[in-house]
Amino acid sequence: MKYEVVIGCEVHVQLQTRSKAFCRCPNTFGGEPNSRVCPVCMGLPGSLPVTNSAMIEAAILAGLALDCDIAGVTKFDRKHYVYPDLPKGYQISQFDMPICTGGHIDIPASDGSLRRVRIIRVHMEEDAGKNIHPDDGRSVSYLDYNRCGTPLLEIVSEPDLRAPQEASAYVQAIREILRAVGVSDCNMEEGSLRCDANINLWVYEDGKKYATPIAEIKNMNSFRSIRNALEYEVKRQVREWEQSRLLLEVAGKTTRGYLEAKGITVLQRAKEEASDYRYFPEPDLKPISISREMIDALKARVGALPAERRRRYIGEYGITEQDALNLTSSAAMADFFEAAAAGHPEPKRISNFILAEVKKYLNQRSIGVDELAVDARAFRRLIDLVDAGKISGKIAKEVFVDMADTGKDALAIIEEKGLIQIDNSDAIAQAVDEVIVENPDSAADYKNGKEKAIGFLMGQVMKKTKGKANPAMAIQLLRAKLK
Amino acid sequence: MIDKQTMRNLQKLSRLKLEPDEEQSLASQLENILSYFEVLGGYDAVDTDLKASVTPEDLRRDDSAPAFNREVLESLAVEFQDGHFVVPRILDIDDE
Ligand SMILES: [Zn+2]
Repeated sequence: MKYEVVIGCEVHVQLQTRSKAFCRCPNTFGGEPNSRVCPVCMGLPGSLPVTNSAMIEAAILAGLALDCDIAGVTKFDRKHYVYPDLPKGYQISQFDMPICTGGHIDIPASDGSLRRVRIIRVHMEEDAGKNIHPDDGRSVSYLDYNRCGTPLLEIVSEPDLRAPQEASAYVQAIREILRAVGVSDCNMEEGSLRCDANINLWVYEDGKKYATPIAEIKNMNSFRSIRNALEYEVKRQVREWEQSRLLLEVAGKTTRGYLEAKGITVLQRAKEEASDYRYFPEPDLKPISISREMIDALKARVGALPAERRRRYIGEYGITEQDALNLTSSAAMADFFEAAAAGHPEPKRISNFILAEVKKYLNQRSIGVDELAVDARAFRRLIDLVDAGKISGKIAKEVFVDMADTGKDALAIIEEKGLIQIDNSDAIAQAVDEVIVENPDSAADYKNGKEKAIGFLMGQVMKKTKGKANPAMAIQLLRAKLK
Repeated sequence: MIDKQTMRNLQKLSRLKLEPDEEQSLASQLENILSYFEVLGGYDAVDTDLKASVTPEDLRRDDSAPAFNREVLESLAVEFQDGHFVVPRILDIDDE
């Protein structure tokens, strides 16, 4: 069965403002339940919302960082639904005039290339309260309105993602970008970043393309669970297609929740027939016009945008386009690279190490570069040790993993483990002699003009010295002794 | 045109349960009301969006103020326990 996985994400991010979106209640996490509520966010009659300017600024900053267009005029709308965590009976959101549209970010694709993920829109809205279902035998729910009315951004992507791993990488990239511009801490555990994903398959059979029903997956609370939930969902949809050949046109869209403990998704809501949010413009709030000057001023604060950075890396540092794209896949990664490469004569070598070793480490652990125990300066000290000939590039890879695991400095690790490169020609000469004696055939081959044999002998010398021999010195000695 | 499916959706959204004869009379009443609104179609829409707008500088500065105190909240609630409002157990719409 030949098929393609199709995923689009809706990411909700809590904005780090001092006060809520439309009232002056503090916007913080934790604390006593219902300790940060007022008539506005409780939806009491007679109260009126007043928009927080910091929310608008944060939304523009986020939009610029995601390469979006910022609207000249934007407005709020009411989205109606009935649920006790929403005391007004509607959510103030944005419908047809969102603040940002048409952005994109580039992420590493599952086939090793780069995937451009288009962002349809970024809009502002208020969050709802939290309900708790106590297990006390009574048929009641508890409500805490502290979160009610706190400012959110909703970021909606096109269905451009082609693998569960890419969805996880996409959300990580969003997180790094928004943290870099300082609009949110994007903490998935505390719920300040939440992701829902729409997923289905394109099945190719007999020269035709069939779309399977879309499932919206909710309740994925970590990068790992995004990947696991979607991987499960792919298998489930493959099975469903083989059994029922159900099509998107017939079955539409369903909502499924991820049960982390069981590693499965379960049906929450079948096809919606009567959903109607009855959107209309929020009559209590005037539309907001955003000037060119304001956008330009905020642009300066976003700092170097990815496209500008890429041009600089290619032009000044001699880095390939592909590598430049990878380095700027997140602002945090680009910051790390620039800080590590500052003043180095060969930035390309630093870029190579980051894109191979550092990225590998981050991917294996599903963390961002800003969570790495090695900061750019500590990383640069490691590179400096290679440049100074103290350790080989190969040893540096191991030392890096050690640094990232333990948070220790490079020099401390190589001293502790005795990894300092052997620059002593006597010690290397001894190893070279032993290798020649132990491998007479290869030595003879080389003497008879088989240049390739030197590679094997060199490998033996490095093995004997546990990778610590200075390679330039070792090969020079080998050639001299085999003349 | 208010067809049967629209009536069913409206009942679900408004949490109403109608008898078949009520359904019919309400559907025709609804249609009357909607046609009344069509009067507005005879007027040109006034483009007030831009003129009525504010700039971000006009908006509220981001500073926080003390919230409600607990006694006020408790007095507003039918039932209040451990800092929470207590409501009948919440079920999803489709669970009803
Ligand atoms: Zn409030």
